[in-house]
Amino acid sequence: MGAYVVRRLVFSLFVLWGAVTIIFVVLRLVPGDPAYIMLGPDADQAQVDALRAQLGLDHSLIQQYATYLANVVHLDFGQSFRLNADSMSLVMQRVPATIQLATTALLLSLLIGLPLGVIAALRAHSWVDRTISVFSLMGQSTPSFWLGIVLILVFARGLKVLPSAGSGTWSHLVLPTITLALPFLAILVRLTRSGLLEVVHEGYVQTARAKGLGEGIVILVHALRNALIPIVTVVGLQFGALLGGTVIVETVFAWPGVGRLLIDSIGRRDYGVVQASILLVATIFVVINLLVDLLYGFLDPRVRLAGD
Amino acid sequence: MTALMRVRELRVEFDTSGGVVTAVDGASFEVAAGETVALLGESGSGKSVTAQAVMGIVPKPAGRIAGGSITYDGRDLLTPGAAKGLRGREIAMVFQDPLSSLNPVFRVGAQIGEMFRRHRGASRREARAAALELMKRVGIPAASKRLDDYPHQFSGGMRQRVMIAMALALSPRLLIADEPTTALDVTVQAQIMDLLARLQAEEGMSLVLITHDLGVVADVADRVVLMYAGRVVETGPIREVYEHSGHPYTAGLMGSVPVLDGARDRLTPIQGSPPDLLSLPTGCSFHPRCHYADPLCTTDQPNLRPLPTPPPQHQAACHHPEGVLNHAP
Repeated sequence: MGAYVVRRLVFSLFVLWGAVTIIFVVLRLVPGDPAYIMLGPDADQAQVDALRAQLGLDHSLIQQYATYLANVVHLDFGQSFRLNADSMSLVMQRVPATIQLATTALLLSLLIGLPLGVIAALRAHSWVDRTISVFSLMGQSTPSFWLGIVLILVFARGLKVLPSAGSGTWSHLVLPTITLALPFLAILVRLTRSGLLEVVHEGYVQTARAKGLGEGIVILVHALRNALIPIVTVVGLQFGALLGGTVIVETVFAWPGVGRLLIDSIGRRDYGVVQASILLVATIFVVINLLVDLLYGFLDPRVRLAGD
Repeated sequence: MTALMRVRELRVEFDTSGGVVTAVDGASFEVAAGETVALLGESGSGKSVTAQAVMGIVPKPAGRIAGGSITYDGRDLLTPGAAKGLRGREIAMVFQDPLSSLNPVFRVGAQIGEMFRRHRGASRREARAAALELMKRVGIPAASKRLDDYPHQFSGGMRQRVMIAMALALSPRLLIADEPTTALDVTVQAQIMDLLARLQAEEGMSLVLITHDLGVVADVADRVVLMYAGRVVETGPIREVYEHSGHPYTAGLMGSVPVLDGARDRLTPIQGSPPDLLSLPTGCSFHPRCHYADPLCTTDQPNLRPLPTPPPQHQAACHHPEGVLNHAP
């Protein structure tokens, strides 16, 4: 197990290296010179050149990449052009808001998605199951930006019961959480339903019934524990999509998280902040995947022992 | 001898893409206290489905009990209220494939102990001690070390011992073993059969042994109930049924068993193939494969009735048992 974790950690470093490299290349491929954008259209060439030199943009790409990698190792992404502060600290200030949003969305999805999936599986092919399936399909296909705007129109503009933007109180959290959670919740419903349907005809479920156990224990203990094994994997992978979703949801609801900072920084070619944000999101993603793999071993003893 | 369990005119149907299949079609038999009954038949004969009906585990929603009755100790097993508390405690079951029948994610000690925890309200510690005792009793070596192992860490034979320990946890009066040795190595099969026979003697419980293997039950069963296409075609004391078969299907099965003393040069297979449950032959389901069939067999379904030879408990569902008895090998 220990060796496995070390191997995974080393592999994770490569994944992160890939992420920072891709973002370096992509940022330099998009049109628009940061010096021009920062100084505005009135700046003359001398001013632009001076700023380019200050930012290190006058060096060759290879040189820039080498400096960049060396700085990344020290988590130094330089000053933000735009906000005039250390890029990494700017990102770290925004992390709690994003974590809060992602966590509440994850909890909401699990609290509603798992039970709905169980109900759909137990009542498979009935009208209850069909209704749940239709709603989960709709949830999965509804784009977040559209749902967010509709929720704002209905609950903030129309009914005036919830704020449309900002943060601070729990009521600010409601609409962004629902918007972020819905696609995830929908996937969870479908996964739980199909996972449970796959195991309810297994021999050990039959054994549990033959043992005279109540139907609740048969399903929630004997069947669900087995059905959860594949679900956990997908939940882990989908959490990445959830983090990606925060970019849109935070923008729609003006939520002061990493996602919105990222969007603003991309628009202003604020390289340091963009790079720091991406590295952070990638790191969270990699860590969660590692946790999922470890959890997988916990849930399925066959995996745990094979690794030894 | 009074019956502990009585199955009367049991009918179990399944919805399939091809239509409704009657897996068990009016099967009747009894199991007396302390008796070993072999439920014999080939795949699809309805013997396992009969056991599922007794245990209340007919796969839903495809399957349903469409008629008949099952009573245990005078209580109706098909009424959920009356059957409550019987399954698992009074009636237990051991399945064919111990690997798929044990839950892969729970330790075997916990799976055995669960019987005490859920049915008797035992504490974790009590359940663990009881599970350990059972594992020793069914002959699992180093039981105290293996309590915390998972099913996949056991060999096939040991897994089946775990299953048996679990079934015996609450000292049931009736144990149904559905092909308990089929998934095991030949050398292990005999050990498991011996174990079942020993435990049955110790507990004084009734044993219903479901199998397609005539040899497995020859030494342990008192009585045989032979099924074909969802119906009981012959029943009686095992010696009688084996030596004086009254149904052509039974006679055919006996003729296809290899014997070691070399008295038989060739095996005689039963002609034809098992019937398609979706389109059963009219009359007697066996008539297309039967040497003795006449027009009556193609129209009238024979019922179980005593054979012309004693004892009266030996019954067959055949219009022409005399011919079968006279031509027995």
